[in-house]
Amino acid sequence: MPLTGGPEGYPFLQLSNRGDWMNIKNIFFGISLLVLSGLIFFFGSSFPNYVVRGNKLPGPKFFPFTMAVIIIILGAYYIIKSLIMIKLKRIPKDAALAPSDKITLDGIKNVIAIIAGIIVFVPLINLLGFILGATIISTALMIILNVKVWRSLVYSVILVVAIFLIFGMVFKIPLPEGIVVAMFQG
Amino acid sequence: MWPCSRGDRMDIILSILSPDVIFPVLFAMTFGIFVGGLPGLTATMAVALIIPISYYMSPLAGLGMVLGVSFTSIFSGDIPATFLRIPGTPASGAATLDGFELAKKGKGSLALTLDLFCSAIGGLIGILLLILIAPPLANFALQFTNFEYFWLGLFGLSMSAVLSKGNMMKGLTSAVLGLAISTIGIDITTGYPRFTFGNIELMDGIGFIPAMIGLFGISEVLKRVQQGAAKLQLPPITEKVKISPIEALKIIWKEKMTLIKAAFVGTFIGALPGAGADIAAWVAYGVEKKTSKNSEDFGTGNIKGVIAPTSANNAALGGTWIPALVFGVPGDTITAIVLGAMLMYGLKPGPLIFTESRELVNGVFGIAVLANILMIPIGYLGIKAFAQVLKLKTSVVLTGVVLFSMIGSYAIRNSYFDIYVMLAFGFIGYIMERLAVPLAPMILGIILGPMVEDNLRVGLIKTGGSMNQFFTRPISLVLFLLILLVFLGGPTVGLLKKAFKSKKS
Repeated sequence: MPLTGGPEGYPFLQLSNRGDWMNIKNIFFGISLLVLSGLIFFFGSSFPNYVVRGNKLPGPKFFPFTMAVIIIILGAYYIIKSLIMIKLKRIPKDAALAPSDKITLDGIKNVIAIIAGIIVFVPLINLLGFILGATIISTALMIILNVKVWRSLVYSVILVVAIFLIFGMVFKIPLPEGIVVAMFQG
Repeated sequence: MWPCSRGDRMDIILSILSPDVIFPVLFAMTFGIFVGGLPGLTATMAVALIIPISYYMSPLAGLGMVLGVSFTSIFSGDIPATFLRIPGTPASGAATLDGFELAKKGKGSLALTLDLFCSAIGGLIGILLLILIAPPLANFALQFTNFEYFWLGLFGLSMSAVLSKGNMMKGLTSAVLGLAISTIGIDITTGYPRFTFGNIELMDGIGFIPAMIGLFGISEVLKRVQQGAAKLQLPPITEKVKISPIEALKIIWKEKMTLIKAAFVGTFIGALPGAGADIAAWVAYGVEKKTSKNSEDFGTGNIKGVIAPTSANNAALGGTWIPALVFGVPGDTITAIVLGAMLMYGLKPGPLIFTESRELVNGVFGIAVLANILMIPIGYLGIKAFAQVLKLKTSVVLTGVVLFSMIGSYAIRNSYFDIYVMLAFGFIGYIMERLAVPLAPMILGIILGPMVEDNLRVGLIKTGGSMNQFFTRPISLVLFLLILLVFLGGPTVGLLKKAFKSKKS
């Protein structure tokens, strides 16, 4: 598969080919790893030492810190390797493995909708109760994903009732009734 | 030989045929056909989504559900692979070659009937090998101590890093990230809370099931919806589905050696920690092609090219349970979830499970055999109904997955926090895939983290801080050398090849 053409969806980045784009992504990955290991060191520094009868043994910070050191090495590896690859104009082997970065406006909208739907799910079912809250979320997601309004509603009701029967009735998992319902019930 | 007495066998049969076991298993198998068959929904996702339900069953029924769903979902991935050239689950990748070519010639139904029978027979062979190999191996594993278990955990991770899709460094990074995540929560040795930020929900560590559902459920959904609405609809099946079992059985009888060879290869690959059904299918396909007299026919609709991968991927499932049950090291992502589920039930996978929970293990073996037999009628109905299933709008299915993922994550501990854990891992998985970092090693890292860390630290405490014992005990040394081989074997062979080539030239 020829790796030609720019990173679709990112016309502002004038890169010669998808390989360059993968190198940029790998640098980003390397930097994220360095930040992560920094966080591990920062939050782990307060972990106590583990001393038994005067013998200093590997304590709570031993393993996470070992991992953090390996993560730093890996992070530095990706950054250095990618910079060299860019300099030598070479394409990383895994460029063909990463899925296409082609993102349409429609796609971005869909991804944000799913994430937002999950974030508001908990407050919504606590407010309106599981059945109503979950039906609203489900219907909204389906409409955003291009299902007709009435169909979305019918499918959502079926889905939510099925989930309610399985988890709420059969397994007796406490599903919220909702503050609004509780208020009406006094 | 079944490793139990005749009386035990009757007990097993009675327990697995009881309604509170057999009905959940049948439900899970039907669910597996549906999820495995829909492109974009993987077998691993099917297992992750069934766990919140199986959690409320008895351990036998729960593990039976996991087995049932994994067998049928791996099989049903072949249906869209054959008809549409889109693998329903990654393990069906090899089925897109000869299966699809046969479908183009109007023989798609025959290919699928072969898939169904070979999946069932291959699965049975894998399970029989599991029943034969696991108990004696467990006896051997009784000699293992902290030193060996530390290396074993690392061995599982290294294999997964090397064998997973992507390059070795990315696999290794994914595994190390998993190990780092596993340190969140109370430190078992000292009781000190690590990276919990005062949050009580994090004291027990990151919920394994929500993390799993996020990585394999939500990240897949995000990947799919990102392509926009136009890409969400699947093409319809044009071939009229006509199933002819007699014709398929005659072909299988003629090609029985292909099936048996592939099943053995599949079980072996499955038993390697980190390699699952997808790799097994490709390896079996490759082996069959290499050893076949008419290898040039492969990829043009060769029957052997259908039989080999489909037998191997189901046989691999039995294989993956070998290291999972015997050593507590998962063979693939599915058994990683199984280990998580076992821990939830309070079961400790490892050699002692064969004596401490003997009835349960025998019951699980029994269900595995039964599930492969039941797969034939359920798979038959699945193939028949599939054209209808594909008519379901993908958007509706994906929304269903999101809803189910949320409620499933919540249901395990009745914790809203776990829904956000699931979302976080879904997003992490989505980003990792964009960076070509494989997800499987991370999951293995999370599940093997405590095993690696505890055994390393307890070992060091035993020796007063010296690493000597980790290298001087015979089994430890062998495991350590195996890990070296895993990492250095490939590159060394490559270097030698290069050296020889340049010498010749």
